[in-house]
Amino acid sequence: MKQAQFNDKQLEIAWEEIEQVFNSSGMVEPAPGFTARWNERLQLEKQQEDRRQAWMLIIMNLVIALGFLGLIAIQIAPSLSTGSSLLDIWVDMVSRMIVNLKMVGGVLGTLGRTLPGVIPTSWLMTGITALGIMVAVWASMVRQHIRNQGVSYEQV
Amino acid sequence: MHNAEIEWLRRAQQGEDAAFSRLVEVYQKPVYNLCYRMLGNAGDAEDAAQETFIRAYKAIKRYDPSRKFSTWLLTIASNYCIDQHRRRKLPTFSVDEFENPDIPEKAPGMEARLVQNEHQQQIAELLDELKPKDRSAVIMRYWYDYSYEEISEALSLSVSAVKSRLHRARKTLAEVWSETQYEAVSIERKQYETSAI
Repeated sequence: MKQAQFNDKQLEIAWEEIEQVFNSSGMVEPAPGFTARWNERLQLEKQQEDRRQAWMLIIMNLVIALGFLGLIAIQIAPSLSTGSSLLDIWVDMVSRMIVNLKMVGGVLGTLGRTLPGVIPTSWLMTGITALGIMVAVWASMVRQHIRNQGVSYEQV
Repeated sequence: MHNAEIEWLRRAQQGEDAAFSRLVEVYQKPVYNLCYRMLGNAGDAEDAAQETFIRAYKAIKRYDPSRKFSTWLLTIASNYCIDQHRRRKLPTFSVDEFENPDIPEKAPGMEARLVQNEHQQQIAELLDELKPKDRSAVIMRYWYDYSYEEISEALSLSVSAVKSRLHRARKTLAEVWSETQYEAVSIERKQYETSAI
């Protein structure tokens, strides 16, 4: 019992001494120029964030483009059973697209009537949807980029 | 919090970097001090304090002005330091490796500086005995005069848990202190006896 009381008293004294050391120590300060170093770090972080966003944009576009190609591949898959080779189909499709582009350049008015006849409507819808998504993603990323650059930065 | 700080805070929340820089200027000392006490050396403390402000900058729009800004900042700093402890399992540092922090300008001369350094070493060694969360609670209590409620909010603990952690920490620190003092006295006695022979 006495030993326990002695220990408690000893710890109490020890704690009082520790408190004195704590109280006398005060706040530790960083080396001068902390804010300037932080500003530099912030700029680096922002650059890294911009790079991350650029990579995300590229990856998203790649995914969309691959998805689009996949959809076309699914749509042309039934044609493969007719016996013609995949290369023939692609060449045929590219040549038809060139013809179509020429048509678009030449007569915009006849586009609505001609295109559905050359390219199946489902292909056309898939293409327009994919293009729409890509344009939306690009527009939002460009807007974000412009907004980031537009933030005024004043060195303190 | 001064009116100017409230204004900087408002402008920082609207995305003005210069206003946030002013907040960094004002709060660098308490944040750095907490990181230094938590991590025990100047290099890690600098890195942790910088990271704290980067995290605060990113989350500033989510900051609730009804909360005390300093408590919010110290919560981020404390969580980051506790996380660092878990990740790195920081080794205990010897007195020889100890990096001296920048002593406040109050220290008038060499002697005072030496005493201050000795105190900093003692404190670092003592705090090193505690678990990260207990250490954080002790620092908030004894360097920032935080109430139990403020500490519980900062560390996401109940008030009774904070009280029990502080009690345990005080006991551990007192035991370590007593042992250290006893060892110091024993060494001195041995030296005296050797020289007497």
